[in-house]
Amino acid sequence: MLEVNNLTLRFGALLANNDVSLKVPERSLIGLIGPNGAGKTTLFNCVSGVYTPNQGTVKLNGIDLVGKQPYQIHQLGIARTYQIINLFSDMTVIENVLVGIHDSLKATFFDSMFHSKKHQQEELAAHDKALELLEFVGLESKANNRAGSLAYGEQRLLEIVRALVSDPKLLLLDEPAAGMNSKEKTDLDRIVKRIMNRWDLSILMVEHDMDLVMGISEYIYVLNYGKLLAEGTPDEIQKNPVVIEAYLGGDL
Amino acid sequence: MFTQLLLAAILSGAIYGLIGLGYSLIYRASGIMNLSQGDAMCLGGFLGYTFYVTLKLPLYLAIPCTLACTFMVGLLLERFVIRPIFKRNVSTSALILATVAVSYIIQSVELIIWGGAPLHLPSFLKTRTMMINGVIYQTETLLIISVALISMITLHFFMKKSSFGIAMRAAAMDQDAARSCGINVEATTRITWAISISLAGLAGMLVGPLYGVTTTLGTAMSGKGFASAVVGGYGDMYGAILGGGILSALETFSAGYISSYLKQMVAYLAVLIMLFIRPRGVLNVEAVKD
Amino acid sequence: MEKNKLLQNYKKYLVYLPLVLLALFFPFLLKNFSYGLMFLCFCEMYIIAVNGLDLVYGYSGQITFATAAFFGLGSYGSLLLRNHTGLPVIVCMLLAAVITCIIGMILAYPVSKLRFAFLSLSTISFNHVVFQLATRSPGGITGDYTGAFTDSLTLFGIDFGNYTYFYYFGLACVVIFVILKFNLVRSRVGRAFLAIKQNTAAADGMGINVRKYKVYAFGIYAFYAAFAGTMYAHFVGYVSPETIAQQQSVIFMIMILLGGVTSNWGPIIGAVTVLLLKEVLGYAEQYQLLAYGIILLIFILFLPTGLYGLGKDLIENKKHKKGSLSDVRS
Repeated sequence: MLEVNNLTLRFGALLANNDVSLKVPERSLIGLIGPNGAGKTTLFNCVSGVYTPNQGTVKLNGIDLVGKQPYQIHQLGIARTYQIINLFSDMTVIENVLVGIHDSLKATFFDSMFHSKKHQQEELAAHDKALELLEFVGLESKANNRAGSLAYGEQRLLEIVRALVSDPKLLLLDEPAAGMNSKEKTDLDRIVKRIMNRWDLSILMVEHDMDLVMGISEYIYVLNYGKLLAEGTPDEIQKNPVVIEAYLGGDL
Repeated sequence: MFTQLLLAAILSGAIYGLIGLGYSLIYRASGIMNLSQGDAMCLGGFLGYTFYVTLKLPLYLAIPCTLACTFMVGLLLERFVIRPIFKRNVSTSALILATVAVSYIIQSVELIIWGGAPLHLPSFLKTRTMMINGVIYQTETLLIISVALISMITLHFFMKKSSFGIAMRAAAMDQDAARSCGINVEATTRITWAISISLAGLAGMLVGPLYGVTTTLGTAMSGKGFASAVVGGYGDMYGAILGGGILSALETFSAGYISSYLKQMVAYLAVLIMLFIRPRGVLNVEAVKD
Repeated sequence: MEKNKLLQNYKKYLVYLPLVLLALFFPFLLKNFSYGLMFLCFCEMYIIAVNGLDLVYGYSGQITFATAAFFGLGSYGSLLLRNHTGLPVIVCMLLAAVITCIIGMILAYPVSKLRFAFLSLSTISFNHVVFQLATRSPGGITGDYTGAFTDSLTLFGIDFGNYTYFYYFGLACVVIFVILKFNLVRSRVGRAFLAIKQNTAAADGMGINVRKYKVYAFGIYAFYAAFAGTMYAHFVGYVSPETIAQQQSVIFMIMILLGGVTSNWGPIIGAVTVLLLKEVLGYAEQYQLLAYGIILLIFILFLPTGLYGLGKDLIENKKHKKGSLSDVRS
């Protein structure tokens, strides 16, 4: 479904992504791992339109994504979370989710200005859907709280809900477990599995927590210094000597 | 007529460049526009008047004193106004508005201390005109251009060769990376503001004898300053200088050959046109897009 | 149960009843103080303009120093249309506002892909260019420095040159414009604006066409400011370039900051307070500037939610101190 081919991105002399190719099939959960600075978030940024790669292609079901703006890519069905929390902290929790569904709503400018029937119906439906998703992660009681006032782990979940609400085909999760404690990580693991069960989408996940990634992913890509180091099932990756060496003394 | 216009263009260009430099430096260091640059220039003029005329200091003392004072003003401005607002996580829009507030406060202080009537700064040199190659030049003009050029060249070497200058450039490029190299980003930012304000102050003192010293000059010069920076390439030191030259050439020659009606609008039209068709400026600078 | 809830919902609107009555009966209260009534008419215009400014600055975060220019474009636009075409005044007003709205969007479009900071430069430049055009217009059509005269508003056979009549006309306009803004703000458009202001990158990533919404916000703001300008032109009957001066644009900003951004009462409080201040400070120029500068800094540093936010906080604190459990929704 998502096909990245020979992706290369340069920052001056630095090759942040060097000839990287990967595939995310339908209804799959793919992991993307690698040491810090390996180019994982950069890859996400290339897919979601924040960066434009110097070479290579990114295709979603055959549609070329390179050169499109982030909002266009979101409209095509790719939603993401961010490595550093990127919420709208002064808006309420539910408003954050409603922003996520913005481009699915059809009310025109004048519908909004005059609060037409179309606007009212859409808003009601959107509110209901947002609340339902907040319930899914257990945040519905905080729907009217300021997003910035949530606990760290809750903010991370909110980012996921905000991305989910638009019914994306592909969900990009950038280190969703970063900074979480073990209880929060267990919750996250359960939530991600439930997402895969309930919705018809794929997830591409960057993560440092090996237990989490290995336990969830069906296929893993390993990046190092911008290049694709290895790829395979979690078992294959764990036994791969090249990977073990790159993570010398790491948490494999 | 042409040489006269050319010289006038170089003169204005140098002045615009000095003010525009401040705009670009501050944008690189703090990410905002300091809309009080023009008033910093007037402040230099007023301080220059106080030192040179009121206190009757010799020129070689008056200029450094003015520079020192305006430098201090820049330091204090960053320390007591800009940084506290930065810390409160205010939007760039509000910060820019704060520089407008500063501009008003500087203007009113100037009005209170020095009054509303334009002050006259006498010419710095005894000889009024010089003859070079058979052409008569006003010495004042040559002095201003020389001083401006010297400051720009000094700044260039400071930024490129001195360790503090290099630290400033590093901090302007990437604050976090600079910090992790042990650079004190707070200090470099503060010095950047101080340099920007004092460059504008120097410009103000230099043109004192030519234009007089008055608060109303500030807003106009502010516009020329940021217009120079926009034309040359916003955020780039050399862009500001180049932009100053281009802008003043446009102004002088359009006024001389077309009509002086346009002269008032040239700077502002230049900003609008450049932002419309080539926001990266003549030098094709990066870091301008959202 | 249902009835009680209904009553409760309307109870909070009861607070506004005295204000509504006051607004409706002002002209009678001020029967012998026509200067006060005139002042209120001016308040109405500025309230509309500042509401537009709230949309573009408070909600979508775009700094603008061109409000006076748009106000002036509305004034001169309507004046020129009326004086040269003789169309009904209300048509000229609406036409001028629409044209200015388009101009505003054209101005905003190229800069919308740049950072907010560049808007400050482009709006300052735009304001100056408009000022220059007004003071030295081609063919002197604007009357240049002396300004120009025009007719007052006549609608349904009523001449709104009279303060009282204009007051009610203005009041109706204010109500309409405020309701439209109120609606817009509680819709996906309003959320998009806020998202762009708070986190432009995330807004983009969540599917919001940032450029489009920045331009829309600017367009509405230009419309509001221009319409206010047309009200001015046909109320005073005379327009001069002073209303377009750069400083006037800053005064609009002071109004919204002082009142409180992203609030319903903020623009009203801000507009009225600053207009009152102008009356008081009308004298010494240096102190006027000083006051404006200090007020701006105080509100940016210490009172970012303006007087409205301050008032709200004080009331919340009182409620907590009283230990009231009623309706504690954040």
